[in-house]
Amino acid sequence: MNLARRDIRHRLGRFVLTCVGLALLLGVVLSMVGIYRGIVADALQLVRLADADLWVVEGGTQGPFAESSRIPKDARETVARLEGVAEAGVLTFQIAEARQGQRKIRLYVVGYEIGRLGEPKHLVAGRAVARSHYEMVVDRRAGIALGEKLHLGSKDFTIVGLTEGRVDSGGNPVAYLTLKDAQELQFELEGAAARNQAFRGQGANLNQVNAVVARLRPGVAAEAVARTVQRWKHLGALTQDRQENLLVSSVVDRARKQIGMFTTILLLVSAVVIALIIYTMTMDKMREIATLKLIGAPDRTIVGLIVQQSLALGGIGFGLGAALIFMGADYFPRRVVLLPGDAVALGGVVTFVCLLASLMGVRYALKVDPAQALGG
Amino acid sequence: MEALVELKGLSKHYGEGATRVDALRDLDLDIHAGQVVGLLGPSGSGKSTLLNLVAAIVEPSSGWIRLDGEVVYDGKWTRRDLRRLRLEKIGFIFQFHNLIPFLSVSENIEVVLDLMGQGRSQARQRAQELLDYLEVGEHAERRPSQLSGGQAQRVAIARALANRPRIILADEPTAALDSERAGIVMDLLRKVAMEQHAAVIVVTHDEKIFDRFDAMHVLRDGRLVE
Repeated sequence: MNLARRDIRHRLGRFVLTCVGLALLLGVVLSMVGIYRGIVADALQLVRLADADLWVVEGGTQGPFAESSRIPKDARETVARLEGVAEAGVLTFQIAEARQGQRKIRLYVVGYEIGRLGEPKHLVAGRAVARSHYEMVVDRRAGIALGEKLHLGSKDFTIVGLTEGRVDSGGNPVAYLTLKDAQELQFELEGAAARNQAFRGQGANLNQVNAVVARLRPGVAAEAVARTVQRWKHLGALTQDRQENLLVSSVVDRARKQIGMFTTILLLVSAVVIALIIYTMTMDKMREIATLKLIGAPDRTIVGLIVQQSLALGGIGFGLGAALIFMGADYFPRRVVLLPGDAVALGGVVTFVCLLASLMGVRYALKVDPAQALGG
Repeated sequence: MEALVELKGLSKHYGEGATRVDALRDLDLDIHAGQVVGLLGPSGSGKSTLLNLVAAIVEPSSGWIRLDGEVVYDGKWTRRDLRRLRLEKIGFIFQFHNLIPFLSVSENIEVVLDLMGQGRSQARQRAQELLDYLEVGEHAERRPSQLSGGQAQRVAIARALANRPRIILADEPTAALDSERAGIVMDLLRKVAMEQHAAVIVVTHDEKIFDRFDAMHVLRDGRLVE
């Protein structure tokens, strides 16, 4: 006879409410894991958007994502002429705040040369940037419609195309400008600062970019081309794999640790909540447990009653929480990437936590003296 | 006729030295099959200790207990053996019936049979037989909270009889009942003792049932005085 099931049925309202509370808690745990996955996915997507095999950056740096990098624009010609390189393009990257009326929007601005590597692909609406000035392709996450204007730097840009799901590791939507516009935005000084620099005989250097990206011919080893580039002391080169590893290990690492810490704390809170609930449920049944022991119930019956309830609580709570997060992932302000493997792993952790949490109740139940049933 | 419950030189004390409390002292008692025996005494006289000893949940300090021919605590008994003894040979009736609230009336009886390893349909059939025998068969699917005090106590008696016990221990079984219902419960216990050849030990303060016992034993300061 399954006593746990019958006890749950008897106190169904309380049990369901507890499960809902636990579901919200475990849902938050799962969403934290999903948010971390989202950060990694967004970061990697940014690196992969360029569709490059090799990143040429400022010598001695690990730019342009992990560190700042500035190289002359004409480095692209040099890289394009290297043995094994099929095509090359230049890119600039920066975070900028744009305005649309009173609304402020943080954008991750990518500057590229029209028709070269790094150009945005797979637009979901509109067209690519066609003019050399004041046109922009932006991700839908920015909440701007085609044809609308956006004030960026000192210029107004018209939205001509939209992408979907392109954000940086901080969740900022990516905006694509022509290289010229992006360079002006990044390197050109404004008003008084420009006049001051001009007075000193130093103008803004608009001939700079943050990286040159290169696609190699099939069968060409990226490491070999990278070594060739590194012979020029002023340039450094990173393969696509190295760039991705760098981004995950350096840029995303702190977020990983932070979220890992939150997840651990939430799991501990879940464990404490489950332990307290199970302990309270066990205390409520003290007389019944004493009676069962007195009439001859073995310890395994009592332990089974408590552990099964704990597992049911954790299982139902986790199931509800997972369903909630899987259904609501799209409504999060940041991308939440939920992998079945993560859900299974968390399910395993929750099972372990439930077993651990039931120990307190089990210990209490095993100490209950059967004589208590006799009123002694 | 051999006694179903035989206590010889039974003593139980708690603590040692200055804190030593003698709950029972050198107690001899025989109770035979078919007997309904009352155990009386003021609070602290040792009734509960005696009940706990016969229920095999407390070990005597000295002396021995023979239950249905088996000497308990002869050094070979494990906790598991004692649990098995309670499950197979002893039935318990409590002052406040102690029915398990999350089980139906029928399941409260079935749980004993389930612990004994009986199949579900067999257990259900036996539970219904017992409930019919105690005239509460129509309440089989109800919860204990839906029963009156008298009905709940009948179900508790049915549960105590589920394992066909040789010994029935009843702790204040009529304390929460009026005279009429108390009389009915005592009649049932007598019927069980006669029909199942069981020994029934009733711990009570309830004067209205004093005339229902075959023998009454009075405990005072851990000794049998009457």
